[in-house]
Amino acid sequence: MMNGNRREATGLALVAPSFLFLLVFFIIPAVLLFVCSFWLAQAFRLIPTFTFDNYSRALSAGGFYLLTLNALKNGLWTAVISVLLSFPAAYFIVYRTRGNLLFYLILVSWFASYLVRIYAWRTILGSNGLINTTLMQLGLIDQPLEVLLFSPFATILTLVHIMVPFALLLLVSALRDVRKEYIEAARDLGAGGFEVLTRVILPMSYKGVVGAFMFTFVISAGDFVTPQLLGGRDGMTTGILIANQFRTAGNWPFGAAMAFILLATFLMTYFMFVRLLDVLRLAPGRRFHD
Amino acid sequence: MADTPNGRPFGSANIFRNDVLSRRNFLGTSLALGAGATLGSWPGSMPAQAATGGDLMTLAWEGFTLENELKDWLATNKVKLNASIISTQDDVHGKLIGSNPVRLDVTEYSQGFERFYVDELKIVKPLDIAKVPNFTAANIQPQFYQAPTWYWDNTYYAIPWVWGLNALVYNPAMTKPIKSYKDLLAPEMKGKLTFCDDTIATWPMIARLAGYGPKFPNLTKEEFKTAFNGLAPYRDQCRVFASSNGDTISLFASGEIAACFSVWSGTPVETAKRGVKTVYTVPEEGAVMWCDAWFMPISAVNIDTAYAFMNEAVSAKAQAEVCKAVNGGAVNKHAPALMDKDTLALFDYSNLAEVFKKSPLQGQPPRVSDKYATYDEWTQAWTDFKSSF
Amino acid sequence: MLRIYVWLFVAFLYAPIAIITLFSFHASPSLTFPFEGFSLRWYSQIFANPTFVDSLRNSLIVGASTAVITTILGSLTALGLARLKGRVQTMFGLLAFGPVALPGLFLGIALVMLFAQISLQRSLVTVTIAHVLFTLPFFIEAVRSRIEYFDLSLEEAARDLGATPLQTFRLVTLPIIGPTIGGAAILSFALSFDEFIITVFVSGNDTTLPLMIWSMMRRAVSPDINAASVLSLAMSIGLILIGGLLVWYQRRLALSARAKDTEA
Repeated sequence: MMNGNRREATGLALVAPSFLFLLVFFIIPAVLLFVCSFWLAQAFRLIPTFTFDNYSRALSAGGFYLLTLNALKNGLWTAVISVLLSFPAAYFIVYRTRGNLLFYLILVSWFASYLVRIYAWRTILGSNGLINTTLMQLGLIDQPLEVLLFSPFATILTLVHIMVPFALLLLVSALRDVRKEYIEAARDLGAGGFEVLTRVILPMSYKGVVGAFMFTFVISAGDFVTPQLLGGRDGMTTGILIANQFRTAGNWPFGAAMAFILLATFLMTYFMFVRLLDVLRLAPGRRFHD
Repeated sequence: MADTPNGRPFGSANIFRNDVLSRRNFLGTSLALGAGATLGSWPGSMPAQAATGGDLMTLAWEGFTLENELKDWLATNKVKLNASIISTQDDVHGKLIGSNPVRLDVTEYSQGFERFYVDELKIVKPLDIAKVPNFTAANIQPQFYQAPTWYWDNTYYAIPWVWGLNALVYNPAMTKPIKSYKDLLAPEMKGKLTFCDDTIATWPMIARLAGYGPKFPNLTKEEFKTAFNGLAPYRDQCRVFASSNGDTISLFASGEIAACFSVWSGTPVETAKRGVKTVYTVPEEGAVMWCDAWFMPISAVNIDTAYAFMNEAVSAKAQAEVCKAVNGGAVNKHAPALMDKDTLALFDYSNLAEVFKKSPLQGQPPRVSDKYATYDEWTQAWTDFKSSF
Repeated sequence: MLRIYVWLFVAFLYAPIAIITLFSFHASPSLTFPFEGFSLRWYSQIFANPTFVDSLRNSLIVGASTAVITTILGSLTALGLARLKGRVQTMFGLLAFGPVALPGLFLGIALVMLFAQISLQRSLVTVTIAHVLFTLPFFIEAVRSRIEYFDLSLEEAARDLGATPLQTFRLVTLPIIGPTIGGAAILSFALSFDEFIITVFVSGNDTTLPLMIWSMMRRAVSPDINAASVLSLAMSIGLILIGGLLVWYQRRLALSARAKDTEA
């Protein structure tokens, strides 16, 4: 057996390059901008000081809550739907197929440009789009369904479409750890399908489910381009406010403050989600932690 | 509010005093030198070229790079044009502020950015107009020649080269003819209107609807509030906010909207190509002009070629060609004679004074002001308007 | 049942791509039905556009470099994390999540500030750095869930039998985590290939494909963006196939080497 300390030292050495990379290109700049969020600025001129003005300004604007609520809604719906949709597919890939062809086929779909895909969805969902035209020709409706496009539905559908391959990747890699033997053992001990899922598969692939949920949540809640192009007039999200400050108004401190508030709501969502899985007893017990 | 001590914003002191975009003393000189020597290349360290030729770094809108229109000139003079692309005006100053601006020999601003770029951000080099021999009163339309948007204190800061209108555009198959903005409030227009998210096109019209047209861009805070309050009924008619000209065009083409509040006058040409007829109209309230101007940023290296490029850009032949390609207007008096029928018909060149009267070239709200609503406040109010509160 | 579901799932993913491909051959500039006939005009138009060729090349360079760097950094991290269970692993996981949890605009500005501090001129190098920063969390998360239950005793057994660390990695570790790494590498490439929010800030005077498409869309949306997308999709699949073939070939070599060893 390898000595525990030596194993740890090897581990640290292997992690070191990434850590250094993140230190230089993420931690240091993020701390810089965090300091900056307590400064003031006007039209690209920074004024060093120490004030909570940016935070109170963000939190006192009614619009900020409304747009953040939109962002969180987009994120939650997208995350829940993406995980639910990709779980059965991941299960199929891991337990029912031998090669990786299907897996790679799904991943490759991510290479179609995201911006171009948004317009493809417009072609499908629009008033004169594929769905409306088909339904009208079939005589099922006589007015185009306008709710299909420029609505939260269109935004979430598109975000799900973008995020699903990623959720699938995480779930597949998590499920590969739950070996067939475990499932068969549980079956032999008399567990039904549902019990196998909630007592064996989910607790063992817990990290993957949480990871898939959080990544899809964060990416889609932070997105402001899709909601702008597909969400209709009430679909805007916080990202647009941050973009305004960073790009147009040149008030980086204010933009940074909003970004940190958004980060805080993301973290809160994370802890609530983990707690929820705990309460539902889908999280692993102690034995899986060590 | 206190200003930075002096000099260009983000360009003077170190982080502990002021400035996070300068490089001194932050991570230690050694690291800075090491990283710079291995990974970066300084634009300033290249020898300036003495004659036309070599690499020319430009930054422009897609379709406005002149790569095709100046093909022969580029080949004859052995200029290798490296045109990078912007998608908003913000991208331009994003590349130029700070102590390590990106090397660009020529780039452009639209009207309204001149004072901000020249006086506040200090990213513009004044031009030696003798090196742009095509840019003379004899060649250039008088309304553009020495307009205050690129010329003041006897100094030329930029070369205007292409312009157009932002006006009301509608689909005659979906609505009766629109003569005034009030027509947009008709009940049958509900859910059929869009606003293009282009502040240069929209803000002056917001002021104009409230009767403050001539005052724009300097509206007092009170007037500014009134103007935005007056806009609320238009929002109720709106289906979606189009993110750009292109987005507006595709909304018209797919039949999702019947009218757009204020958008690029080239829109009807583009929707016609997609089988949908639309018209642009200058209603009784008027319309808004835009104009792009080439300028030489502080990071320019290949200066002589940059001048030669700007000079070619305002030649009659290049003007006529680019106006055809982008449905734009020419600043060169002799360009209309070289245009095809459709391009010529876009604007009334025989009576430019009248075009200017109904659709003036207006600037942008001040970046800092106690008296007038600032650019910041306009941006905020516009965002609030788009997100309905 | 499940099989039908999975095919529906794939159909959902590929439906917009089918639409994109179909309209890239559209005879008219419209992206709306009815479809008015086939033409190759958008492909010839996009190839005649020098900016397209340049930006496609830039995007392929950045995407491939990002995928390679992220895969190296990420795989090392994964192997490291397998040895660092418990608190350190959790902490690192949270840290690595950071670049994704903050808005892309924020990262863009933060990096521009850093690059100014260390006088790093903006170029494709800085774009690649930013993309690695953005893709690394995805990569680490993907392999992290895989290595959570990774059985280190397999590696140790190999070492006890006299394998060098490199041999152990190639013959024991890689076959186990290989498909996940392959998948994560593809996603890193794809993420980089599509990124434009951070790229706007950190790019110098080189344009990448999404920046160009975004700018084209702002002027007028035509099927040329579809053609650009289809071409880049085809190129990416080509690159991935080449990469996949190389990996497959290497593994075959490794396997035959192992077979020889056992014979001897």
